[in-house]
Amino acid sequence: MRAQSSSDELRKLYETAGPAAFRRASRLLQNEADAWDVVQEVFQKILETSVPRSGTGMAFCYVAVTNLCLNRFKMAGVRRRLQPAASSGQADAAGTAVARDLIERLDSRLDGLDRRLIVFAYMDEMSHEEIAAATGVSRKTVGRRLEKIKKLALALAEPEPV
Amino acid sequence: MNAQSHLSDWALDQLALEPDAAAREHLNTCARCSARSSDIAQQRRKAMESPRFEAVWSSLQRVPPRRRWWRFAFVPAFAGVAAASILWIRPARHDAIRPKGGYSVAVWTAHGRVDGSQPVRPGENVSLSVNTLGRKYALILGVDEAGAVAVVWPPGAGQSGETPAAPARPLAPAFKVTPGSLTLEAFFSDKPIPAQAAIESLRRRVAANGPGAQSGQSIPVLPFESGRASTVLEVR
Repeated sequence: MRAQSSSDELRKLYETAGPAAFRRASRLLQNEADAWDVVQEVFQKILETSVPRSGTGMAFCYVAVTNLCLNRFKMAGVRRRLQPAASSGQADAAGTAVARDLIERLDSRLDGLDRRLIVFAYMDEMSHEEIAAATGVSRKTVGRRLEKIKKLALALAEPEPV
Repeated sequence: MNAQSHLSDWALDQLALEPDAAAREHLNTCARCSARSSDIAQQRRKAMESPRFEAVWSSLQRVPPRRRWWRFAFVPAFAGVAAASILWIRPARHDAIRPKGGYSVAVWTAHGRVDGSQPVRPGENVSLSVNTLGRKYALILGVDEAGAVAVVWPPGAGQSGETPAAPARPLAPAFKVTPGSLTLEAFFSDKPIPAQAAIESLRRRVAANGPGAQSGQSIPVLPFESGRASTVLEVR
């Protein structure tokens, strides 16, 4: 009875957060097979790990998908030209392209948290409050980090002095 | 709601799990958010129609049951349940015995644990640690940028090695790193995994997908594999 109830709850989480995880992973990785692998890993983690310190099931999925995709970026040594995701709309592709572009161009100047914040802010267009709720980082830190990222990006965009 | 007074995808996804009257009301009056919500719903249906959706679910059913924290994500939905039932499922009961985190492999230098985004300097001494969640054996393979696969730990062994009883203890020996990017794929098991079979499996996977993270669900062999984890070692 108890096991059945647990399984039902997991199924409910899978049916709601699973497609959301796939959508976000597809946008970031631009590869559906890899995106399903990420979904698999996320839910395997849900089965295997203890209660996360913050957030609900959806928050855990957002953070886990972001982390796994960013790891894959690093592992694949993403240097390829950005291409709009075939399965998502123009707005999706634009936000994703900005996020990926920032991560690629700022690369060594970013730490893990910066990368996650870029994905949440630029691809997911989450507010600072929402990012703070999902990541467990204070709203102030979110704002400060994103401001720093914006300054770094602007500095990169400036032409070299002649 | 974000600064533009529209619902983010995050908020729309949350709505599927938790009812939010204010957000629902906003959806009824905002054409942009309503359209985005429909778009997300359509993408959700499409994902659920994919054969991989049920394939992933089936594979999850084969994962041995552990502490399933996600049930607590639904606690608000069950607020009306009797107090005795709530006590029965509350998470605090498990706090004392809960292991931290999931399967993992981590890289350490003299300066501490290496964050995935921090490169290591060439020539630095590096050691690895694993969280095996109680599994006795680990096999760590490395995939370089060219897609070559080799055993990283235990070095030179033909099969998985026994891991230290204390998870925080680094695996011996430490090794010096050379420039480049190395993806570390760790496989955890209760019985030793033959290194050659694992290498060949990973090679096939790399040949199909290119170098990079291969630790998704579809590595086909490793019959004794109980869990896996990966990380990247960036040396520059």
